[in-house]
Amino acid sequence: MPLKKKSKNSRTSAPATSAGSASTKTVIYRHRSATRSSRVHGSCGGLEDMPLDVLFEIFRLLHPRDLLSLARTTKDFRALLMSRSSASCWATSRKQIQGLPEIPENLSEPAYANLIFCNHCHRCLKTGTHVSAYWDILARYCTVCRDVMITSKITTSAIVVELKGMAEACGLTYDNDIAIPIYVRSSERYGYYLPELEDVKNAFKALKTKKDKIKYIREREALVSLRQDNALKLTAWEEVLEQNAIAEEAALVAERRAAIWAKLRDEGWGEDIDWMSSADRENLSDLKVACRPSKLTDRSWSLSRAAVIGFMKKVRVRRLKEQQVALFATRFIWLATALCEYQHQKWLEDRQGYVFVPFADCVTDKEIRTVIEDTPADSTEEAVKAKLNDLVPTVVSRWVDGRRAEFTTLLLRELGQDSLAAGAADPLALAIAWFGCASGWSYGGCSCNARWPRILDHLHFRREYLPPVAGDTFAAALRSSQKSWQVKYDGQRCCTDKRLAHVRDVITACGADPDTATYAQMEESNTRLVCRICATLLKREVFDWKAAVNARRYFSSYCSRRTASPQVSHDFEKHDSRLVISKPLARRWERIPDELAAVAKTVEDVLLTKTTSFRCAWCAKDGLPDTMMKAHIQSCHGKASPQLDEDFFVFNMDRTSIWMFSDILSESPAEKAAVQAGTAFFAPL
Amino acid sequence: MGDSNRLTLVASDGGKFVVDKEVVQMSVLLKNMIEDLGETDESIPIPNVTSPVLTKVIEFCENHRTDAARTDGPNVDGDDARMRTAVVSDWDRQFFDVDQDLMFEIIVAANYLDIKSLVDVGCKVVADMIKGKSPQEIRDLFDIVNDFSPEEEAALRKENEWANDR
Repeated sequence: MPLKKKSKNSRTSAPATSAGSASTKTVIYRHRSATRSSRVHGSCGGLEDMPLDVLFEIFRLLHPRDLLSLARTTKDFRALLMSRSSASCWATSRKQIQGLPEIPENLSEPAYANLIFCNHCHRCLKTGTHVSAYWDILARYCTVCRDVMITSKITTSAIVVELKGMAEACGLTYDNDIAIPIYVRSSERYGYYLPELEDVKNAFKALKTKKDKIKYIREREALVSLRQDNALKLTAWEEVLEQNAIAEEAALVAERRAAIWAKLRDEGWGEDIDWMSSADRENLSDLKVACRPSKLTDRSWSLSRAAVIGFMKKVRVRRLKEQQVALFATRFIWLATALCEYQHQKWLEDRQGYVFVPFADCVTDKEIRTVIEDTPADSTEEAVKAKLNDLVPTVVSRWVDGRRAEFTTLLLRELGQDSLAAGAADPLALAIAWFGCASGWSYGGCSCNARWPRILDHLHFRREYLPPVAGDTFAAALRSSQKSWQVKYDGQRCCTDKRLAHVRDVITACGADPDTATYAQMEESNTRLVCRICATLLKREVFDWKAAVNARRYFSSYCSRRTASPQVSHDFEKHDSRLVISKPLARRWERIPDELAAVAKTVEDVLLTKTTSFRCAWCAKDGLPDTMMKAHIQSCHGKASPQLDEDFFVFNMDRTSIWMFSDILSESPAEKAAVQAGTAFFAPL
Repeated sequence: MGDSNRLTLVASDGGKFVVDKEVVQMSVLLKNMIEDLGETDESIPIPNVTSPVLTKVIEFCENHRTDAARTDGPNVDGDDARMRTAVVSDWDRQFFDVDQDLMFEIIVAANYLDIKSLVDVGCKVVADMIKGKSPQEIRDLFDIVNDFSPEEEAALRKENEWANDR
């Protein structure tokens, strides 16, 4: 169908009068555009039937890519758009593209648009990422076609040499390329466009005169230079375009992410978003559905929602757990305060016999745990504290009674019910009631040997770290609390001292009845003993009865030398305490005269006061010197001026041994120094 | 004697529309006609425009009666740039939310009556419909029959020449 020229607009023609009805004169005006506007088709029914001037208006508003698409819809549109009369539409459309270099002189507008905006190979017409633009030759090729159309310099060098040879044969030389060198990025090489090389060679051959040949070479040099300039401009424009595309994509992704976050807030995930760490935020942003460079529509949100909500649910689980841990941690502090205050009060009432309960044992009590776990988060501090304060005395009492019963049972089982003296109200008060630790048998056994309630403090009866329990937030909260709060009593390895025969020997040596003597009676006796194994004529180690019970671990260097002797071996005491049970050394202990015992007691009393350690009367923390203990009480228990015997107390060893040297050694420097240090005394041996 | 500020337009199918002169004058064709005729009670026939189309055109003009700037001025390059960047208002988009036949008839009528602002908006709406679409999508959109053979269609992609020089 032949196309007609676009009509020019648009004043109306002169009016023409026609006959109208009798009543109304009707003036008929014929608008020029109505008659002169041509159409692609005759009738007004669709886009194809629009007047040409309207179509051209539309064309001017389109992108060159859209013009190409339109030109490929029908033969009529193609004919219209490929007409030179459409050149102004193409040019107007092209000028919309910011920064696009001017059209090269050898390309038509559609060809330029096709080169710039259509990513297909100009040889095989395939599209894809393997197609690259070669701006120097104004073409796009896939990798396969590129290797056919653009040859490497090595293979084309013959043609280039031939060209140079032809030029030189005419007495000509040229320094610049007369064919366009093309850089192939993927293989980092230069090549030539084969059709161009052939054209140049043939054109040069066809030239007859030297003048024409010189002119041709100069023209080619100029053309190559121009093409290279154009290529540089196009490359620069393409780079800008790529950067813009990257920025645009990034902006779209950012917008999508913001929209996702807004959606999440709308759906009630705001608190979780605010709680998320930067790593969480990055992980959310890195979700596949959040990285797409497209706007978040209702449909795309419905498709992406499951992944995002799945992520947020995990975040919420962690947030709630962390909040619960924080809530528990706060309540732990309240419990610790209540426990410390209660224990301090009880200690003030009974300084000798009071038993401190470890925090972990208290907090893991079923009732306490219920209060901490199940009291709603919005309960007031006062309400929770009141509940804890009410429970602490019961829990402490229950725990202490439980331990006391355990130790009593343990003792009675070892002694046998018959051994218990009639009327002994408290078996734990008997002098023979010593307890040990069953751990470490394989390397000689633990040296622990203590009485109730100090046996509770033994290191091996503490489980320092509570085991992790999957899904148990309470345990997790406790595990993240102070280390000292995680120490729980574990009496599994507790045993009666299996050297009770040895204890019996000691008590007997002191002149008391092991079955009836009480701790208090033994303390009053002031008896002192020496070990027959260690004793020499000049030096004897003096033990009070408690030190004698523990004597197996008291080795002086002198005693060690003695134990090396095969005749008098002490090895059993070093390595196997069980041996002592089966083979107690008869008459090991010898009581020293009362007057020497009195001297020994005086020296011991001084010695005990020298080795001073303290224990907190609020939380039973021990092993700290005076200043550090005060600092501890100030920081942990809020006491501005901690006082000895009010907030903390002396916590020394309750047993010791000293040396008794013969007067003969009174001038010996070493013994003299020991006496001056308060660890020995001279006696007429 | 009728209201001197109002005119009667008669559509091709006989439908009569009484319209304010101010509204009518958005059409360059009618404005020139009124100027040529002077004061008259005569109705003005619009022979190429049917009643439904004229209804829509009058609706547009009444809505845009105050947009004087749109009614005049040639279509120059600066105007092209303005049109490209101009955003079609929600009202205009809603106005053109009609079936395609009516949409194209409105544009043709606007072109005939020389109502530049309506032509501009119509062209922009159509251009927006075409933007970013493939040839097949354009065919589907406007119900256009593909008259290229597959071989011709493949050859189109070379685009290495002006097809015609007419």
